[in-house]
Amino acid sequence: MLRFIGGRLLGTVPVLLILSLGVFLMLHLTPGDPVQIMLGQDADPQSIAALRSELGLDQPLPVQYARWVGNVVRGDLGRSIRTHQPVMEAIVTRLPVTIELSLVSLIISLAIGLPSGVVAASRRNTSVDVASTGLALAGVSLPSFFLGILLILVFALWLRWVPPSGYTPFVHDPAMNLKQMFMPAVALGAALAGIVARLMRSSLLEVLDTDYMRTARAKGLSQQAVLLGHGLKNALLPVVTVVGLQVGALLGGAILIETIFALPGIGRLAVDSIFARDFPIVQGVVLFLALVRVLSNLIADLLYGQLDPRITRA
Amino acid sequence: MIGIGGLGVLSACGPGSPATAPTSAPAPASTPAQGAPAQATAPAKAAAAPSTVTAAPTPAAAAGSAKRGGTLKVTLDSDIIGIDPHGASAGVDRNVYTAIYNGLVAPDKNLKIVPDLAESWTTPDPRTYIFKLRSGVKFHDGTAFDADAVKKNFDWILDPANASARRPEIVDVEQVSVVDPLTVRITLKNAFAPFLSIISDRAGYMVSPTARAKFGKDYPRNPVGTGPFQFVEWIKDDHVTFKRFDGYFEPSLPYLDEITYRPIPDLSVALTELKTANVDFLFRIDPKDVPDVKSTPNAVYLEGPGVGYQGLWINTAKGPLADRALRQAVNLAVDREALLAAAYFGIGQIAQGPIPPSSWAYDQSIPHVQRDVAAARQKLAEGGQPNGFKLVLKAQSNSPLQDKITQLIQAQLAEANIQVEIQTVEFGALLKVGEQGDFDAMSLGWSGRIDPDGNIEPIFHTNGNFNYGKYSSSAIDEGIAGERQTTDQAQRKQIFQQIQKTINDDAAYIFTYFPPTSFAALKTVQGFEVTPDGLMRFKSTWKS
Repeated sequence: MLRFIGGRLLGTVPVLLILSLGVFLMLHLTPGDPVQIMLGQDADPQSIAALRSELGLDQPLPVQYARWVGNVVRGDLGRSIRTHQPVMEAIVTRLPVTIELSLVSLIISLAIGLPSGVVAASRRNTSVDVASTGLALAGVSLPSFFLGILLILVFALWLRWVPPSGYTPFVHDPAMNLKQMFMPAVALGAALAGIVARLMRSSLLEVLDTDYMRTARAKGLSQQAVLLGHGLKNALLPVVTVVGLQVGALLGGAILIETIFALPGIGRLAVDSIFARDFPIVQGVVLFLALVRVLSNLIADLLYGQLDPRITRA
Repeated sequence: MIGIGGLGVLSACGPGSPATAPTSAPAPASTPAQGAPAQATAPAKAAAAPSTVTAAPTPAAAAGSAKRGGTLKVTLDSDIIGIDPHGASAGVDRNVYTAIYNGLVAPDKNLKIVPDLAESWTTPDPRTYIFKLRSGVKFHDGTAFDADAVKKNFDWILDPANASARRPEIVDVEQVSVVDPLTVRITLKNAFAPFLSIISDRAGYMVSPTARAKFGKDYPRNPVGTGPFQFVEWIKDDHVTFKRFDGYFEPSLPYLDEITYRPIPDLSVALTELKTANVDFLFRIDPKDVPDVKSTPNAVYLEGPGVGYQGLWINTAKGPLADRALRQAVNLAVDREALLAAAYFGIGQIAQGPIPPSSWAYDQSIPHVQRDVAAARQKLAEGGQPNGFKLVLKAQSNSPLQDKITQLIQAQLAEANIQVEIQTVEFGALLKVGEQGDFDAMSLGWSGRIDPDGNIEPIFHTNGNFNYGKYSSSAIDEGIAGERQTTDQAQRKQIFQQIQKTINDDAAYIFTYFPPTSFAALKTVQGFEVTPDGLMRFKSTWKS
């Protein structure tokens, strides 16, 4: 097992290298100069040149990339071009926001998606089923930013239940924190809830038709025991895989959601840094997100083994 | 037209009556008089009738009804990048500097340069400025503000090793010398009339030399000034907080206990924050949202003239628009009334040149270019393209406003047989496009400077730093040299009029629009004055 994990982690190194090179090239080949953007339209060429050389941006690209990789290997992700903040610090201080947002979205999407999938499957072709699949389809299809704006309109402007945007750390004010998390998490989790519901339904339907389910029923087990004890466990397998893969998508969605709801998370950091051509930050964030994605896939694989003992890692 | 004459001002006379504030009184929004009246200075003499430059009582303080206390929550449209006026800064950062820093001089709401940390000044000759400093002023860290601190600030900017973004602005400073603890003499290499206006901005903001030395590269995150508020904390992308500085040199100011700035990138979300009273003050507002603000019962829309202009940069060096007649054809084909109505919702004013209505050099009698399609076609023939021509118009992508502007212009020019191909690139790339001269026309404005020189020289001087259009005119170059030599405002105004006329005749830039300075606030916010430079200043602001 440890060897398996180790091997998988080692395998990510070339992936990360290629990825970082790709990001590096894309950023540097895109027109736009971080110093010019930072100093604004009104900045004059002399100060732009001075700052460029101070930041090492006047060096040839291969030199810049090699220097960056060399520093990363030593655990130094560099400093932001704009703010001089260490990249690691910039990521770490924003991490709790994005983790909380993703986690709450995940919980919301599972809390909505799993039961509605199960209910839809067990009452196949009833009005409940139609309603559930319809809602799931809406969840998948609605763009998250649109849903976000809708939520703000309804819950912040009309009902005044929650503030429209912003973030308060959980430790400062848990109630306010959850109030502020509610809309972004729903906006972000809606799509995943839809996916989970649809997947849960079809997977459970498939399981319900299998021989061992008939056997279980024949043994005289109650419908509930059959469904939850035997059906659910087996039907969860594909759901777990997909949820594992979707954690990466959640992080991607966080980019939009954090900007709309003015949350100081990783996604907003990434967007702002791309527009500002703040190369060190963008590269640091991409590296970090890639790592998260690799890890979440790995965890999904490991869970897979737990849920299905037939899958072994010899 | 909205907001041409009067400045939008929040009054100190109770909720719901913002329009009744004294807009015409030239009351320097500065400081209670402490020192004796000082000698006259040439630029100020020209600026207004009184021949002394000295501090006068602030109207807000005189009102006496202002209430102490409270936190003002203010939105920004993006996060700041640092709180160091001498370092790299984005436009939005300047709105935060005003809370924590003072300059030697400051612009008032009529853009007149008035005393701030300097009590008075004299200019014995056009190259020499002698500032008499206010006594007893302390930085937030207890460091005394004196002539030595002033010298250290200027010397830091001028030292090339510090790569200060402000250095080019004051590079003409030859020497800063301490005459006595409260007197500073600044000598320029050559006469430079806009000098006072330049140091009324970031280059003249005073930073605590102690803090600068102590924090080094981390200074932008540990700022210390003399201003009405002092730094508390900055959580990136979330908020910046300042608290009242009890030792502020203007007695009884500021009124607020605390200011919190929150960057909210989505303007419609920011507006919702205001409507739900989660913030008190809205920085920047989309023209399309103005009716919405006006119909919100607990909010008020604040507007005054601005300092910048909008329009099209023209490549006068290559492509079809290198031909003067063809440029004039474009100029004549643009329908500015339609742009104002459709793109800007009637908010603001049509531009007739680079000098906006807020400036002392503004000339109302100059008409803006009227659309004349027949004349435009004639110009086409004159330019050797009787059947029309094609040009590439570059603009910022992902901007609904720019989409609208460029599409309107495209349709307007098509009626004059000028085919426009719109190419959009993201803002950072657009600046590069400009620098490389890779455009026929480019939809981009100029944020504007207090002194008209700053709205003209960078763009239209042959060696201007932002002469993206590679425009060159000896008349303009000579005019700029001349207006810089004299501090006589009447004389300068005359030169600027001539320059303006030449630029328009050459169609070196297609001026379309003067954006106003606009904000929105809750009605509980009192005592805020709109300054044309668009910066938010809250020292006299209070909450009812």
